[in-house]
Amino acid sequence: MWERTLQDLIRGLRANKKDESKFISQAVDEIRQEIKSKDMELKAAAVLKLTYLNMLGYDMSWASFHVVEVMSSPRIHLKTVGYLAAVQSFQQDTDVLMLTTNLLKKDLSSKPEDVAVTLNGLSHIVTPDLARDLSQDLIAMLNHSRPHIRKRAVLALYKASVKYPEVLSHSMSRLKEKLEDPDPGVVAATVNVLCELAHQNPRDYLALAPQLFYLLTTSSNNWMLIKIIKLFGDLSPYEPRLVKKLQPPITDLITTTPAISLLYECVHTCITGGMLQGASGNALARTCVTKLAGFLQDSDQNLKYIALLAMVKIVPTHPELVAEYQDMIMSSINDQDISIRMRALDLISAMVSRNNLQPMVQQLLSHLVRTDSSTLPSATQSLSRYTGSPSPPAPTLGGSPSQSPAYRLTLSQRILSLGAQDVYENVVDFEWYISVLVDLAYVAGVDVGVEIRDQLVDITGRVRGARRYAVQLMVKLLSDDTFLLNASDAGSCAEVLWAAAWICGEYCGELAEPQKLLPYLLQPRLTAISPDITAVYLQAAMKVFGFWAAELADRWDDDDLPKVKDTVDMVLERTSDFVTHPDIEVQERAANILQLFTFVRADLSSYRPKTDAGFAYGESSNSPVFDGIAPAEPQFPKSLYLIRPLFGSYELNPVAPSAQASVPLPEGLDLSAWIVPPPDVSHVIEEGEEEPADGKHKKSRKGKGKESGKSKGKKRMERTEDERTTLLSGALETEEEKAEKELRRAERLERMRDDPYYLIDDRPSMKPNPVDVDSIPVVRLDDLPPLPQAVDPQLPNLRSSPAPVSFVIDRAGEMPEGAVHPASQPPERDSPSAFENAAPKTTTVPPSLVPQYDLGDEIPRTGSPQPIKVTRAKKKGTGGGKKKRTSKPDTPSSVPQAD
Amino acid sequence: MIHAVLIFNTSGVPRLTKFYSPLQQSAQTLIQKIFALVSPRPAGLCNFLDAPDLEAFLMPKDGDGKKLRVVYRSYATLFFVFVVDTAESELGILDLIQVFVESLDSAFENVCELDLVFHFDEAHHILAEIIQGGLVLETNVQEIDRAVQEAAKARKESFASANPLSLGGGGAVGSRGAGIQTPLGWLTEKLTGEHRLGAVDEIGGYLGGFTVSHRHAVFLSVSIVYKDHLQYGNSTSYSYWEHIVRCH
Repeated sequence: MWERTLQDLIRGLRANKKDESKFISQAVDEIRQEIKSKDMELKAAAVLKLTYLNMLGYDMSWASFHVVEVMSSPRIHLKTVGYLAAVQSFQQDTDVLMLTTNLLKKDLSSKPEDVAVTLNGLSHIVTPDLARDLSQDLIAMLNHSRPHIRKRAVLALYKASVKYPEVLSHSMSRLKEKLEDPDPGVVAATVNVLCELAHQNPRDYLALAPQLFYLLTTSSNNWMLIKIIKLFGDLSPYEPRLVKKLQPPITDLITTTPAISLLYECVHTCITGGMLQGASGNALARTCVTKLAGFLQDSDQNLKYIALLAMVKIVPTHPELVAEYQDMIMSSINDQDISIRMRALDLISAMVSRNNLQPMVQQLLSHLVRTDSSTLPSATQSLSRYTGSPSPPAPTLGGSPSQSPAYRLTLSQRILSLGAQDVYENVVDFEWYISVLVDLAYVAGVDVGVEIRDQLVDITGRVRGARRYAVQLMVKLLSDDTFLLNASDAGSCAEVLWAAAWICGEYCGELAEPQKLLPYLLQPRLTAISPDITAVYLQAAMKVFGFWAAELADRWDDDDLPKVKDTVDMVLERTSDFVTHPDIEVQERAANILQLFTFVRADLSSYRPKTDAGFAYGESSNSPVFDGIAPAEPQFPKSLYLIRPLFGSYELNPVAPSAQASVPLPEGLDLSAWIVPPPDVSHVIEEGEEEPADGKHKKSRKGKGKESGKSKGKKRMERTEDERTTLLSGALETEEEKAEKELRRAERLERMRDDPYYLIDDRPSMKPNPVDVDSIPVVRLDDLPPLPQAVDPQLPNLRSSPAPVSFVIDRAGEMPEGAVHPASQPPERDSPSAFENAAPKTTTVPPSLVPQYDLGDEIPRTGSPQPIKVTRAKKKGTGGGKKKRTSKPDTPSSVPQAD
Repeated sequence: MIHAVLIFNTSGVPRLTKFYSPLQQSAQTLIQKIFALVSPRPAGLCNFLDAPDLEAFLMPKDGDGKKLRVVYRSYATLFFVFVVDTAESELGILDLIQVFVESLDSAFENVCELDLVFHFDEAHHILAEIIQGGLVLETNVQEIDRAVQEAAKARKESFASANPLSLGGGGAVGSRGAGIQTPLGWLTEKLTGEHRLGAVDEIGGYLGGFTVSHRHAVFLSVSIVYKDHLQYGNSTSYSYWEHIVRCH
């Protein structure tokens, strides 16, 4: 007599809030006893209690057999409990379901109350087997005398057909009849089911259009009308005549119905069903947009939400209609409701254009600024603000929706994709956009650094006009101690420093005094940031020095000597810290720098002003960098020219998406021949097995096949193409090598499919736009005012030459020489990608060496350049095509070591 | 279709959970996640939950492209949450929630949270008259009421014939006579007797073109003390009342 009822259990739970788990474990023990009882009432009560506990998260799968026992009770009040427990706890893989087939069959032929309960239960627990075995019974139920049962049978039949589609072929005609059922509830349920079915497979249900159309024009049940309208929205794309037929009744509904949900559904269907085309469609579209705009102004937030949702769909076809309400939409971005903000964001992304990008991005950006300032600070302002102040406050959770990290992330990504859309199609002023990117890096507080980095590098590569400004901003970033200090925080966007270092290194020609940057690039605090960024810093430092030294040499003055010496000493001193860096990549680069600079230092210290008779060797005329100087008597330490050619010989250009495909096959290269004949194992297995070893073998294999026909242009192409190419000196091919080559060719071809390096386009920022960029004509923009240049005496200034004011986006990217242009490419394309620009400088011959370090009397110079090993350093783990493209040959093998 | 119907209170305790399609994660996680997003939203915001946190969470793993949406409504201490896909009309679902609440209201006579707590099975039966297997079965409140009553009557008769000695012990299983503290026959009387439907015959909201009244919200909170005292024993009522006051 101590059994607890469900009420007792609940009461006990409420009384034992403090020790709930103990109470429940006790209760479950009781249930385990009761559930085995022979008394069905007691068993059912136990199952019911268990079902309640299941809702609170306690397992009841162990009791599934007892649940079936209760289901089989002939008494409806117990059977109901059993079915409820089954519905709540059974999964598709519950084994006892196999036992229920006969039980369900029996229940389906029982009293109407039992049938109702069974049909409801079956719609939840149905499995493919049950559906197959019970389909006949279900179809028979469609003609039950009670409408309540017919309704349930229609829905249960649908659920069965989901698990066992063949049910449908038997029942389709019956289902059609149900559209004319005398009971409106049955008709509504049938429409409901048809709506679900047609959503998956619209073509099969076109035949039902006349009946549905009749219902549409006669029924007044709004629930059903909504479903019918939705159904037609799915059907009409497959039957163009339907559109014409539907236009009048839908227009009628839109103008007359008082039910907003129906109105919205009509508008929605007009949009998705393609009813807005043509002259009559335009009128309808205007009506729709006007109605939606009405919703937008409504005080009911739900209508606002719905209106934004529908407008997103209408924008692609009728942007001009939606644009009329731009202000209203923009104000929705400021709504306190995050749901509405999200929809408005979607809509804004869909309606962005050249004219409105700037204000839109400004407004979005202002949401990210934590100090609720309505006016957006320019990049310069925000930079100076942050450099002076301590670190920006950590993102606080909760509070206004702008503070939620997920929302900030969405917002930041939206800003980035707005700008990058169609290769920066909508960006008019790139200096503005670059400053937006930098601002974003400061205010985002979420992890979008990689995207910002990629865009920065991409833009500076593509838009020559913006480089100067980009370098200026990047110098500020590099010199911002606070940013570096916070770089290890989450959401600090430290990857932007990667871009900053790379851009400053690559385009240091824009700086008047690049050497001032060196202390920033080599500061000891770099050890705190990610190794791949540090590596780029080191590389940039080398580029900057190389550029500066060469510049200095061009107009050499002996007074410069101590300055250079100091700088070299500084570089050596600071670099030596990085030689012991835990990251191998940093270590290697530091070691490279150390060696090169030790050499430079030795040269500098041996340099005697005006006593340089032994310097000049005629061979220096080979190198174009010497062209401007009297070749016989260089009046400067020659090692100053050592570094620049290592980096500056080729210009880095964006690579056209189709470039890789256009690389002509070298003669005699058969990529389909086996390199190693396949072992006995089948082809497919071998492919899978070899996958892990891929990276290891690649290096040695690459490029061998490409030896033939290599030219200077070719080399350049390969480097920008990011081929890891080893150019070997003209070794003779032996027979074995030939055979080996054949085999490797085939293997290589096999690999190319999965090899990320063979991706046609590896620029991440391009990803959102899979459109054919080649077909976009290059746009030249004129008459943009130059931005005022902020002058900071502490930092290296830009050169004084007037800034170019037009932004030319190199959309097409570079193509390999001799490539066949794709047909889509306009032949008159003004390509700044510049084979021409780089062509004159296509030699990688290092400048001649100072005699003291020369081993022989002369370096043998023939027509062909000294063999140079171009080693592509591969950095692991940090993604992005950017990196690949930016890597430089590190050390020419022919440079003798100074020590 | 409708993928889930959830009712939980302002502390996030589930009062009714029904899943019409297999879950991607545990039911408790889902409830907690939705609760965390719904509960801080002040009244007056829209009833659609569309947070970026949720999108990744609700996305079905098999990726059949059906985007799920959360439509919710709050009544006094309870949140009614429907998770639906694009085949349902968002505004329609809002009205369906209203229909559900009105059906509960007429079955329990001014329904409150405690009714759902103590008669969670009954709430399930009512829901089963509105939605079956994730598809809407009936939307007419009167029709739903009629079906609920019929089913309850059948259960009651079955119970009475199995327990001839009990004096109308109600449709609920487990009212086993001795040791029951609740007043007997409360549920039965209500479900079989001439109980008032109340002035809730309008289908409020977006279908009928009315805006929804806050009548229920008022009733739901006011009726709690009364019911708690009368029907569920007053041993815990005080603390519960306190709890409710705190929640407000």
